[in-house]
Amino acid sequence: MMKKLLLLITLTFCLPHFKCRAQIIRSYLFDSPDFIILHKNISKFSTLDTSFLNITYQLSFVEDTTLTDKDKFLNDIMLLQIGRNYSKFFSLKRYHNDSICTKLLERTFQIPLAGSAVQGYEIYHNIKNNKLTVTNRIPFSSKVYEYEEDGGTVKWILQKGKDTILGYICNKATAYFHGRHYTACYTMDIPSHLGPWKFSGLPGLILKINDDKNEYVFECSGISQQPEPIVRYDWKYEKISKKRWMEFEKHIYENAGRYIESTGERVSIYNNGKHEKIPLTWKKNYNPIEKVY
Amino acid sequence: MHLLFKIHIRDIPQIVIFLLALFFRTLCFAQSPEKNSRATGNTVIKVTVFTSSPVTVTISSKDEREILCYKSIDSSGQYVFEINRPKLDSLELTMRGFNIKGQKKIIRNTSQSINLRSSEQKLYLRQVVVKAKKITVKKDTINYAVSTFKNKTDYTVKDVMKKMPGIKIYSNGQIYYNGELVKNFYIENLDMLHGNSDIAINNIKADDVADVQVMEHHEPIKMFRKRKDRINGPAINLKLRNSAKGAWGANMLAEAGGTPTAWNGAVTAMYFSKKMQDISFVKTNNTGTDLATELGMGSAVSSGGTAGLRMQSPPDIEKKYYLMNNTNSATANHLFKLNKSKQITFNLSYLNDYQKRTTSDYSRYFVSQDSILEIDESQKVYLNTNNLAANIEYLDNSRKHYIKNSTKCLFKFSGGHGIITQNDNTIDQHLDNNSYEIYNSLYASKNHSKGKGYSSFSSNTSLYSKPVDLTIEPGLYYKLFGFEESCKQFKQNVRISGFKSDNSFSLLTLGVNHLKINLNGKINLNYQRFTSDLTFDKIRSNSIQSRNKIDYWKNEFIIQPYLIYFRQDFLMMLYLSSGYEDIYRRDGIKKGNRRVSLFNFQPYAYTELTTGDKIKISALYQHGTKYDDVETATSGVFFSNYRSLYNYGDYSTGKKRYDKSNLTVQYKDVFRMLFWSAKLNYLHYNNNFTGSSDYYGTLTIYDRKYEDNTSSNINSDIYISKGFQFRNSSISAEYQFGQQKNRYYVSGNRYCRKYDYAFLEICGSISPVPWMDLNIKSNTTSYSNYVNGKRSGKKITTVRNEFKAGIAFSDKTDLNLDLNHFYNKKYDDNKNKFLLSCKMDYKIKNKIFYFTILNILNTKKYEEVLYSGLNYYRHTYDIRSRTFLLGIRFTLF
Repeated sequence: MMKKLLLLITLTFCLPHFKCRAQIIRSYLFDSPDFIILHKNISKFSTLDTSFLNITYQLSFVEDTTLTDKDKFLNDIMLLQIGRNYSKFFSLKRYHNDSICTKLLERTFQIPLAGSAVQGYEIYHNIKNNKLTVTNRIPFSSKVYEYEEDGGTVKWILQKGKDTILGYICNKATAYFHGRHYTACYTMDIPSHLGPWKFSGLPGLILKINDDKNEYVFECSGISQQPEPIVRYDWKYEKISKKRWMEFEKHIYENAGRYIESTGERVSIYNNGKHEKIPLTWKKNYNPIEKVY
Repeated sequence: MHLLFKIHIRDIPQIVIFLLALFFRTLCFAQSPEKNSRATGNTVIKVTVFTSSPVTVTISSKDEREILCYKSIDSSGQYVFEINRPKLDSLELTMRGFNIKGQKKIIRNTSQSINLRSSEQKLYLRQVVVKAKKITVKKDTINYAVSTFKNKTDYTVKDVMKKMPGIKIYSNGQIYYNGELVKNFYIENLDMLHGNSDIAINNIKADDVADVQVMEHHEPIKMFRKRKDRINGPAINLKLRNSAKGAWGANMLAEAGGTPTAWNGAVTAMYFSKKMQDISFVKTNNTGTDLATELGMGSAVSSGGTAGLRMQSPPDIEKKYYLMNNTNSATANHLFKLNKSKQITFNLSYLNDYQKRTTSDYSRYFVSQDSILEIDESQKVYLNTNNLAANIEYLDNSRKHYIKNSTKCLFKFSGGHGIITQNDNTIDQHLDNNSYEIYNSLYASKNHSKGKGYSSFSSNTSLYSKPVDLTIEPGLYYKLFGFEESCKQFKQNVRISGFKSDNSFSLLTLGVNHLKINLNGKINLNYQRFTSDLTFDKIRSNSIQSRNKIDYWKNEFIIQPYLIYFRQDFLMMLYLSSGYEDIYRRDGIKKGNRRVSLFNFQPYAYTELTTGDKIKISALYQHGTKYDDVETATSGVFFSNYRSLYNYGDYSTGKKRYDKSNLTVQYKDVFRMLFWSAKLNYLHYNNNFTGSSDYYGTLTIYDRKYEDNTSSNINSDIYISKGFQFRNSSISAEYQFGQQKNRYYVSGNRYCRKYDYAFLEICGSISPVPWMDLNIKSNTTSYSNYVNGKRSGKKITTVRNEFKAGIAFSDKTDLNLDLNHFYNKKYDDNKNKFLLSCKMDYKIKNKIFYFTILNILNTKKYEEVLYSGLNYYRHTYDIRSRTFLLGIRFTLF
């Protein structure tokens, strides 16, 4: 009797150690095929620097060049954090969505999606070494790809002519960079040679820059000197060359349906009252900011 | 960056050249001191920088007009700049950085060495706070970002739209943008509600809407979109947030309280996607919410059409105070998008409305120079209606063709009972009014294959029947109709039915450069039948005057040539409608037929000029002629209510010739959130009859005298609206003034009346602190009457003030206060009247708990005073007693 009781007690104390793993299956339902970049947990990170200048940019871009009406312009809000040693450029909407999801997932599985226009890249600029590290999140996947390249490679031609943006008098400069012709407005009153995305090398902060087709327009909408930490998240990054990344991204867009199938995620569209899988033949229009790399 | 590299080879010994080359340093913009470069003949400036913080050094022409070279430097050292601008006498050398004091030096354009030493000083920039732009513009679409106008106390998108500069929402559901009526309303670019925007803006949550878009020159027909020869007005489109799309959403509201028993409930469900939309709800309340206006069924219940109960029109105050109702409604609105160009919509609405209205009315009628008629009445009216409306619409809207067909049915089953106490006499009124209307509208248009011109056809057809039975007890006016003994009741029944078909088709379209010439044809057919009968104690009166049986045909055959001239910013249209109108009237009681055939010329001219994207000036002139409808083509009498009798007597075709002109100037500056418009309208009538009234006891008899008569109306409307980033504030003002002139007969004497009026309204909204939202509206109306050139009575001025405050005590708790103040020195007892309500809500997760008090001050009565120059009216309305409501709103899914 005593032995049986001991066994029972032992087993009882052992039971909590047999952990049950519950698998969460996510399904995504849209009214038309689209790419969505999933949230990521941002609770763990390392601090690279502290910003002394934070510039907010409105990004207006064209993803689908075949559209002719005003809906072809998509929008995002980007943030450029400038520190002494590092700068970081990323989507503020993406950050807010990650932040909300990180908190919500502690108690619910109902989370908002950020929207397809929100950019999935983050650009870290090591100012001393003049090196750029670009991280890219891909649709319907938790993977993050990373490549490095030299910064400050934009060859500017200073132009005459001035403009006023947010009350700052700006000079103009032009450059041909990775397949697009750009016009930049920069202000000498803000003595930083940095700018949005990979643009840098002017004698003042770039407040506005657009390509000649207005398919990519970055325009400053906010300036703050509130110190903020510049962080890099403790994710698993897959290192890749830039060439390989550009080819991979193009492949994803041109084989969008097959790509989604390969991720294993359950993605359907709502069509006349029925749920249908996104067709394998679906292609998404590809209009990257870098046409030549 | 400039890098100039020039070598001049001189004829000197090679060893010297070699030694010189060893020690020559290349100074180049964007090179560190360690790199060598060759520069000869250029201005070489060696700048030795002493700094502990990153700096930017630039060399430019004077006043920094042209940047010549620059360098970002993060450590002390010597840096060389090379300039090749020999024509410049002087250069500007600047050093800037975030943590140093900026330095600027004017130097001569000669090679030299300069030291720059930085001193610590933090650079403070002019902060630009990150704010979403409240209003943005893309071509002719103005985008209002809802989140920038929304406060914590706003719930529906209508609450937020009221604060958007340039947009004004009236209580009848109409939306105006910069003084122009918005005729088309979309949700995600789809038209599900066919202009009935109240269903959307009253029910869609502000949190679900990203932007309210105003499309200024909206052309709903895609095949006409690139044409410059069309007049297009503004349209509104709601852009929803992604979270509000692609899934069904439903919420429920339930409120209950007293006194007496009060309730308000609603279950609302919505769905929005690219291919399907739905807004459906079931609502019920007895707390004064007018569901009829929301469903587009008109405002509340009317007392019949041609004949009805005598009751006062509603007062001009919020319905929650005076509308004693028991209303239930349900609506289902559904849109299916079949493909890119085709869609089908279904709208079904039902309304069951019971209303009680209690008023005291004093009316003073001018009978003659030495006689007036005073009537003191107290009225209790009970109205009940069941309305059923259904609409199905098919739309095919592509770039090549356009087809739209909509079929609507409206069935009304109404009744009412009114008790009037007049000078100790009690008059009982009973009304039965069941009607139906079936309406079909077809419009089709197609581009010609060669791309020039188009063909179009439209047909609007309706069939309707409006029978009314009005019973009055006791049987008043029996002597007028040949009865010798008094009667207990008299009954007026009126039957109006008809068929109408307006058809239009294009015959010719020609275009040469900026000139287009079109020719349209129109055929309008209109048949109406009017029958009426009067019985006393169920016995038909022998008087031939007591009956009507009129068949009335009014047909038009019109040719409409029109010219359009257009340039980039200028448009001119000239329509020259000419036609033949045939009016045939057959009188089945007096056995008389009359046919009138007339030639009708109705020109219309419109011109529009836009200067840049801020100013638009437009002008129009229109001339036309209107003829009687069947209600004024009667030869017998009929009662419109118990003390109003229409007696048009010997019939003659009533004709109204009108001239209408308008000049409008509109200005908008979206960047500054400033909108204003000014309109001047003139309307002149030339009639062949003058209205007349006579009195028989308390009975007013309306008649006509056939003679030439002119009347006119001139008015101006000035509107201005401005939004500010400061404290999320906005202000708008509207000023209207005008004058009306007409002529009228009273008891056989002719009077010329002039009516001057002015209306001023100022509205403002501000959030003085982030947790408070204030809205103030103040308007004053004043008018004066003149009869035969002399002022009649005193000027009447009414002032109304409305004050609303929303206070968010925390993220969970809000309080909304609503105070109305009215002033009119003609009021009997108290010149000032106040109406006050409040609502408190408390949020927990996705539930909101409400506590509402209507009419906190328990105001009993509201007065209105009107004076027409000849007649004076004072109406006193019962107000809902103080009512408490406890409620909850929550999301079902």
